[in-house]
Amino acid sequence: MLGALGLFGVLGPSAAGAQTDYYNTDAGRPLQIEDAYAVERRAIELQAAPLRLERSRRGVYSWGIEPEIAVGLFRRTQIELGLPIAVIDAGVGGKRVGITGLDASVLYNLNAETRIPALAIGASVLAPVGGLAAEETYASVKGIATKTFRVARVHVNAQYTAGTAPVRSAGGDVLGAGASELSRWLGGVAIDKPFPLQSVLLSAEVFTRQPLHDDEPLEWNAAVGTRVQLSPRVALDVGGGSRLTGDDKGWFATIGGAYVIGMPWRKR
Amino acid sequence: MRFASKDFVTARRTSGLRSALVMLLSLALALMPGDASAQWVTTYEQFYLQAPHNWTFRNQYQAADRLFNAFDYGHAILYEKLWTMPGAPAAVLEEKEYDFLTQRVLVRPPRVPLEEAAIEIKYVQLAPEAKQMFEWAHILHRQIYDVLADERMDLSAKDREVQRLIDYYKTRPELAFSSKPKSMVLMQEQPYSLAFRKEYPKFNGLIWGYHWLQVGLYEPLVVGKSVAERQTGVRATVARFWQMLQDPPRRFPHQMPMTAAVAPEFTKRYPEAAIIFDNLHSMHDVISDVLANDSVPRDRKRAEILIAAARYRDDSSFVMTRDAWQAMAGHMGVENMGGPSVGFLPELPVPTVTYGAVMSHDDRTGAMTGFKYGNAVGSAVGGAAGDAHAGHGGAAPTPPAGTTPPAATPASTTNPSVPVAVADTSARLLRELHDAMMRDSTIRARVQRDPQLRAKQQALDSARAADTASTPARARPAAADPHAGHVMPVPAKPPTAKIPPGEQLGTVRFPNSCSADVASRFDRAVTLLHSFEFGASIAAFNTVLARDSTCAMAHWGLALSHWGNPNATNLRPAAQLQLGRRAASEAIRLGARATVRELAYARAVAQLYENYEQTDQQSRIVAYETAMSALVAQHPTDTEARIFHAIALATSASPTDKSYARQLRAGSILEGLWASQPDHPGLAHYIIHSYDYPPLAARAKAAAERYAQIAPAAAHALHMPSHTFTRVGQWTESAETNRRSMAVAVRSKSIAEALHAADYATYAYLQLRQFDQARGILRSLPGLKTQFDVNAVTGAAPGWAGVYAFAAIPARYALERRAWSEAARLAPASSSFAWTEAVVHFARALGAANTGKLAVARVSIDSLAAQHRRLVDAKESYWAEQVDIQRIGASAWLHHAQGRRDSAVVLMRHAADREDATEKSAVSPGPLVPARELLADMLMAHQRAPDALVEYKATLEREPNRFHALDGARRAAAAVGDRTSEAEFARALRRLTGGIREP
Repeated sequence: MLGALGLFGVLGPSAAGAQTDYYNTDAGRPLQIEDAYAVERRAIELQAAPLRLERSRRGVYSWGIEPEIAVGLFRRTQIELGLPIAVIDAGVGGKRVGITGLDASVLYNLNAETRIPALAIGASVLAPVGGLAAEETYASVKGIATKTFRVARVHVNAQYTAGTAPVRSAGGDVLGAGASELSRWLGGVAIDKPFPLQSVLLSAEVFTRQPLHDDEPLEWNAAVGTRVQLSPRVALDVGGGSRLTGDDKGWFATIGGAYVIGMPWRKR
Repeated sequence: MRFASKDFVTARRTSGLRSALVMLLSLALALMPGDASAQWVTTYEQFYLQAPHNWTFRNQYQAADRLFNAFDYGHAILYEKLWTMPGAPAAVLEEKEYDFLTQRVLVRPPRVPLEEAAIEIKYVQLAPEAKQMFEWAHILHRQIYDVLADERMDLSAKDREVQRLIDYYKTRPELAFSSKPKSMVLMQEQPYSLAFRKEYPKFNGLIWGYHWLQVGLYEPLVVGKSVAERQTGVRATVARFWQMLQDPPRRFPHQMPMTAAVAPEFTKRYPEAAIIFDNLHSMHDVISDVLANDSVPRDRKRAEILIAAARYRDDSSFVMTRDAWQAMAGHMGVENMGGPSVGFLPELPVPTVTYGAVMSHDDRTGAMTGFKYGNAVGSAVGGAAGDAHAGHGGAAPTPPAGTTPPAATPASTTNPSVPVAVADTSARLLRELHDAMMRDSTIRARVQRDPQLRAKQQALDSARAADTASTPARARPAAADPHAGHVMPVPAKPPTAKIPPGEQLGTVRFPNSCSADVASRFDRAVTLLHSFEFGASIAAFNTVLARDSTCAMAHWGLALSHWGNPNATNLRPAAQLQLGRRAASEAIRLGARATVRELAYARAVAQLYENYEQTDQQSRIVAYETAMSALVAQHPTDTEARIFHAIALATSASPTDKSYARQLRAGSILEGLWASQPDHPGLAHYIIHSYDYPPLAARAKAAAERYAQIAPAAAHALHMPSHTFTRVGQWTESAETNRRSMAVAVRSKSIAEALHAADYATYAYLQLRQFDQARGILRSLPGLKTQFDVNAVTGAAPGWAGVYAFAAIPARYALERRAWSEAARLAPASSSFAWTEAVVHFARALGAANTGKLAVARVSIDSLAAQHRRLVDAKESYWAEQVDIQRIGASAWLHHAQGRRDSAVVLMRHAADREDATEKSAVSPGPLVPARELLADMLMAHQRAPDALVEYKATLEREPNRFHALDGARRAAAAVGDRTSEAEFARALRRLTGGIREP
């Protein structure tokens, strides 16, 4: 069960970024490691039903739907709200369905890339809202760097979460799927290659994370994915990967789409 | 066990943490910049304005929209290659990338707008601020397309929405281009300028082609009156873009396309947007130059780009007025920018300047002051043996590699027939364009539905059939096949001007020091010059030079020929002046080795071109007359000098001098000589010109009746008597001689001359109330248009006289029939010549005011005011006055329509008085409608018949035998009970019309 819930860790509901543009990657869409750019100012991006399927080596399947809204409220800044919903095959105990928390985050892009990589900092709060949420509020901070080379872009992410480790059940499972998604720290690198005429991005990542419980082993993950711009307003992403180490090795697949509109404007 | 387990977990975690930290540290080091010059930049992207029209253009005009996506790639890859491959062979861009763009990207354009940062990877890191400026302006570009394509909005809603988009655009001053026109100095006169166009002419042409379409596509969306028209227009404009891709860079714009020229209606409606886009496109070129120019060190390129970007955002520096900006666009010439973006079968753009030429402008007025780079190619062959004949006939410097037009430009330096070859090429290109457009099913269907378009197509088909029948197979260009991809070279024309058998041009003897072998050819060239057959005279003088390259007087003849019609009141274009000055300089150089007399001729003609950048035209004309006067004083027995001096005397007179002193003196000189040289074409010809004024016209009757007999081979000799016939109201004679002139002019390919004669003939037929004849001429215009080249130097009539005729004939046809609704519906056509545009606005204003369409009238009057400002700024004082008279007259009728009778009459009288104080131009048989006749009409409408009768009679003094003046006078006389006068005017009307009643 712990493993099943832990799979959500790669999803990271606290992840910031939700750009529709295929070139602006977004944590979880499809990879965990994202770029350092915020959604465009005055843009509103809706991710209505991004789906995620995970299977642990023990044969436990988990589904997640992560509706999000990201708003480019200020310059180089995005504010995002998410309400992840999990459907967990709990084995003998049956299926569990519920909200895993209310995630509010902010991403602030510090600069545009020149010779200096694009840098961003982010912060998020996972509030205990919903039946599968943790019992307390967790706050995370994150740093992101993006550097573009002629052949590909490279993104580096590092994240730290404050808060006590969640209580385990008698069976050893973490109580609250939301908390199980969190990492005490996470670090990773992604590389992506755009095909600009087709508006397609192929990406791959490797990252490692330490779950909130110190006694759990480090997890190493690898994944690949693609983002495709279907129309000026709609981007599609597809990805899949594997947890290479840890207590609950397994694979995951994700597919999602995002739709973007602009904020209303009136001349002052 | 628990400890063991815990230790194991801890050890594993420590090991993993170390690995992760090492990896991240390594990556961070790799990502950090290698030197301290890296820039901290905080620019950012912003979403487009959310609105219901978002992406409408994409949905409605998918093919065109996709091309814009392709353009994204072209722009981006250009900067990336220039920045990342310094010193790479030009072929990387000119061949590899160009071929990829034109054979792959444009043919299968991307389906969505591209992320340029994924293409211009390193360039974006160099200057992200500039990239964002472009993106922000491109968003405005696309959003305005959406608005104009949205059929749910009416025009006023579109206007509001475009303004809202501009307001939104301006919310980011750190990115927004100035909406004030920027001087071309920023683009063309910086230390780094021109590098790109010189080194990469094909790619540069492609970029200009992109920009042509990007601004040009607005025009069909603005001028289209229905969905179908807009859709057809967009397709046609896209088809013209595809034409540009044939045979690069020859058909690409030779200058940066200016929105005011390419999309004039869009510009009128949304000037702020048009200016922003011109500034955008201008800065595109600047960045290309900064990146391409090796003299800008790599570590300075970012700084130079940012300086340029700041200048293009700033509202206070390098700024021109809107009027100057529009005038500048006009002077640059739409034909040099790829041509206008709308119009079915318009004349093909034959550039008048060498590729990438840089014209310098007076930023206060927009007037062109000369060339900083490149040259004119616009008019026939050049002056000096050994330098001329490239392109459209000008003395072009060696063009950038790869830019030499492949067709019709034999290397021979003594080929006088290049203009003919170029005309052939133009016709062929026109057919290709036509074929490309006709492959579109919508356009084809529309042509079939529309009788006018169908007639145009039939005219073109007929011309093609005739050409196919008459052209030997080996000389027939391959591109006559509508499916042929490239224009094949046209065989060179023979290097000498052919003298038609039995040619009758009159008799001239002009002794000079040139070889005796060329004496007869020289005399023939002068006879042509005296009859203003300038194209032929240029060819003839070149023939002389081909046999005697030291003949100074042949260069003098070329210089005078390039000046064109001395009666023409417009300012000569710089391209024309360059050619003339070059010829005059050569005449002086060779004249110094010839005779004192010939040197005096050379120095005299040089006055016409002396320091033309600074000296106004009228001063130069007067200086020429003075020099000719001195020549006559030194050589009193030189009759040719006296003749040329006489016409100089007449044409140097002020149009407001009502004593006609100079003209009378000229007439006297000419009449004195005519007795001893009755077959001299210049004498009869210049007498007519000298007396081409209402009070003097009767003096020219003998010359008018004789001139056509002296030189029947010259179209102008056939036309010229009609100047006198018009003055004295002999409409039948005028119509007849102009009909003959038209036939000769068309045969000799002098289309401007034919159009000029057609205008005079139309005027005559309308006075005679022979509407069928006038309508016949009207219907022949599309056919003539297919052969017309505004830049061709052929007969006496300059190209702009042809443009004037195209505008004036339909306007006359409506106004002389008092068909007000028809007049109100006339379609204004933009032109480099503001006074020709004004003709249509004036007719529209009168038509609209007389049919209660006051809004249309107001717009037309505003347009007249705009054209007036253009002309004032361009120092075209004569035409500025004429257009202002039209504006005042039109305003008077608007007041009349509004019931403001008193002010209407005051205005109309003011217009009439000002018109009386000036003279009509020779280009026109008369004002479109005489202002005094309009005043009389207005007074009649106000039931002031006695006053009206006075004005009608005054009109007839100046414009004798005009139908409407006679008819108005008859009605006025009847109203005041003056039966005698009424009967007299009725008799005159019967004589005039042969009893034809008004329809």
